[in-house]
Amino acid sequence: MTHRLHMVMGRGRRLAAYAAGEMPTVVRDRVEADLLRCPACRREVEAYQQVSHTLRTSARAVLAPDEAAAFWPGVENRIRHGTAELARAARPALRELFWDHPRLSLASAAAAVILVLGLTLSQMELWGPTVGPNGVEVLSIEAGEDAPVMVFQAPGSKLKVIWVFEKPSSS
Amino acid sequence: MGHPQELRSLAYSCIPLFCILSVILATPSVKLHAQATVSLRIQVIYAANEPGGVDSRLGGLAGDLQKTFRYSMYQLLDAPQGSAALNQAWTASLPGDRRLEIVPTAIQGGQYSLTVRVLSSGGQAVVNTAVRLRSGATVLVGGPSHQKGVLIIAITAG
Repeated sequence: MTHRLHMVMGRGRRLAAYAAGEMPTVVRDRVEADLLRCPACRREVEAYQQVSHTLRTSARAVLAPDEAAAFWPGVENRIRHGTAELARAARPALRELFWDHPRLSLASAAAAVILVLGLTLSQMELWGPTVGPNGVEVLSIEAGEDAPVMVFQAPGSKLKVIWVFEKPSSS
Repeated sequence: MGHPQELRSLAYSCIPLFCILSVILATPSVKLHAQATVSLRIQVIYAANEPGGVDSRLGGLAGDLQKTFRYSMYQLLDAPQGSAALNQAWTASLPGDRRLEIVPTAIQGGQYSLTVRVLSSGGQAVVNTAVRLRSGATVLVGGPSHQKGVLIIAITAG
């Protein structure tokens, strides 16, 4: 519990600094007093020291002459390759495409509105088969026996006429 | 997962879409209740080559009749009006014990499909036609003989 409290209060950094030996003497004495009361802090300091020791004593990488000769050309090659990758235009995600381009978003919204309006109006059946300029379309016609029938529209008139040639009667 | 603020703005942007979808879904029922009948205006005209001139009650139709036919007299005999429900027959009597029968078969986008029959006194169809009229448009059915001339029936749906 004490150790957790230490860590929360920022003493973890002080322990790391203590382990690295980068601490003024006055502070160092205070930390050592704390370490006497906190076994977990001591273990933490030991861990820091172990890591530090390992890093300092790691073997240096040694390259063979041919590896050393190929090292920089390889680095330069990778840099060139990376530059070419960056030069290629990144393909934007769909969301970025719309979010970062308000005009495109606006056009998409307008298209959606038109689509929805079209669907709405088609549901309302505000348009349908056209009926010609006079608003009349004769779809089918049948007449009685011996009664010829014709459909016509006189020039200059807007009336469409269905005319039955009925025999004169006495009515 | 998106930022809560982005999610909220996405939800707000969906509200108009839901409203529009609601309108679309509600529309067919509105249409059925609003336009289930057709108003019909009929003018039964006697046309002949007799003295008498043009009946002033024919109004704007008189000019079109004179452009279309060569009769010297046009007399309005009757002007029945009514409304017919979809697929329900509406009838009016015509001179000579004839009948006019009109059945609206479809109502679509301000246009009315009608079956129009002129029936003789024996019940036989003198003419049986299917027409589609724009609201307010008039079609003429003429030819049945009457006295010394003919009958012309002007049918207007609206």
